[in-house]
Amino acid sequence: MKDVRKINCDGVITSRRKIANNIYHIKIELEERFPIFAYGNFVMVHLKDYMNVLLPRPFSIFRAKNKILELVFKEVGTGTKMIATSILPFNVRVWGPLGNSFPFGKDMLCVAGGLGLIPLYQSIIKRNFKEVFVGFKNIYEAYFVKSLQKRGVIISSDDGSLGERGFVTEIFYQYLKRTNFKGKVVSCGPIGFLKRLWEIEREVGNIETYGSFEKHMACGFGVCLGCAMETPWGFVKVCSDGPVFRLKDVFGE
Amino acid sequence: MSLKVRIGNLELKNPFMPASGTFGSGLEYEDFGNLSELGAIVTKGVSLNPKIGNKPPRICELPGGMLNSIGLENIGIEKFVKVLDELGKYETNVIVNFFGNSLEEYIEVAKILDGHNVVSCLEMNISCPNIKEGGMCFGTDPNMVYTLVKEVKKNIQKDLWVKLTPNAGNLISIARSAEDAGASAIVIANTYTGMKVDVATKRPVLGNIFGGYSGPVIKPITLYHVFCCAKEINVPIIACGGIVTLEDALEYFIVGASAVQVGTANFTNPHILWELIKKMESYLRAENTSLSDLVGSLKI
Repeated sequence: MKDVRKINCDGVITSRRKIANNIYHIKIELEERFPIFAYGNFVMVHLKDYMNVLLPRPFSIFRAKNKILELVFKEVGTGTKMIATSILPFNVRVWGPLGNSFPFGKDMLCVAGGLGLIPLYQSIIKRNFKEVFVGFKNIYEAYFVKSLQKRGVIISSDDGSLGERGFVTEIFYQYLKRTNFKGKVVSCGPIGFLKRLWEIEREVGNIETYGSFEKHMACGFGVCLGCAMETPWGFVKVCSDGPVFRLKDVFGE
Repeated sequence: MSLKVRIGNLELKNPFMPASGTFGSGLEYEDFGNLSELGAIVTKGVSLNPKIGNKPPRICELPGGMLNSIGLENIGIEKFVKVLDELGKYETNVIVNFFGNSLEEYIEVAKILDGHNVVSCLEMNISCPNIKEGGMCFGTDPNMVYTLVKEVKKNIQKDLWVKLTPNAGNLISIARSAEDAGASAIVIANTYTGMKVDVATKRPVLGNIFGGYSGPVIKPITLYHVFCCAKEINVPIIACGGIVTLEDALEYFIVGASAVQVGTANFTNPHILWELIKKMESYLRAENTSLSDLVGSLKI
């Protein structure tokens, strides 16, 4: 879904809610209506009043309706700390939607790890998947649990403090072995998680796994070339060639 | 109030343009504003052969600035010519930044660009290593700059702008060499070489170890370079370094720049050039002055 209309406008963070350890849900009131977007698209958010956070930050779109844009993020560095702790209202500039999106289709599987749930959450809610696997590190970093449970999502945690014990990738792997599933898988999570999903695809065959990747970015639309990612076929730009890639195209044969 | 400015044989409708490498081919910004409203479009540096660029990580944010080590990644002149065709629909100047690793490469690219009807003028990046001279940067030696500019200029009809590297130390002698050899304008300057170390891992943050420092933090230093060169050379100066606000641009005009390029700020606000043009119009109206009166109006 390229060629959608993009906005670039000022906005104000009007509400912020801590939903798990270091994880926040914010609402941004934009000056303009947020355009139609596809699941997997992202936005760039610039903290325009703070010189020490010079560059904008990329965020998956959690939800957007009219002039309200909602994001869910984890505090990981200077920029996200600023958004997590500053007094509201807080001025930002937002541009997007940017990047490509997850493939559509019937009977797909979905695997999400940690914050990787965010770009996939709305399609999980709309019950677009045959089966959904969501893994958290532990119960303290888990969020939206009730809503996921209500929809029959298979929830796990690395330490067993919530749902099934173990890495979500392994629970997904066991499912594949049990069911001989054939078809598409969409995923988002940390780089180690994505690499493991590629190993699984290579081993079981019959599946096509797509994953959403993350890199530091300066512009978000293919200009700065800062988010280059190495693949066996050369560099790709995570922002404008992705962020969603077929895992095979990133990790190779 | 007219914002028009003449740079060599070119007339710009206003003195605002992007800095090469921060604006892609220009087409990436179509969503954010009408490219025809800019003084010029300055495209990302192109070389004879494609370059894959440097190993990631390629960018690193620092207080007030950023380091980048993109490595002049580009698709090469052959493919780039097709992009140029598309830029033809915009009613503004198209300035093409180019570079090479030898005099012959510079000349070859320059000739191709000179023959393309969309190209208004050429901007030469001289921050590259001269492979034949043991990899020494072209732009740090006045004699090498003179030869390079002279030889390239001999082979082209169009105007040639020369973009200096601030890592040369004495920019005045470099600027003079470029002017004497036939440059129509001098662009001051490029990024400052720098690095960042991750103390936890004791490794450089950039995959390439070092990179170019840009952003608002470099503005006072580049402003000083423009000030020094403006007194010594006669061709127009195009200032480039850390512009974010109209005040930044005004400072450059006051010390003697005829036009300005905006770089890193395109990443922090993709609409910045258009906003600066509007603010400049209001400023000149409010102050009842003109751009030409402003240029070089520094009082000491």
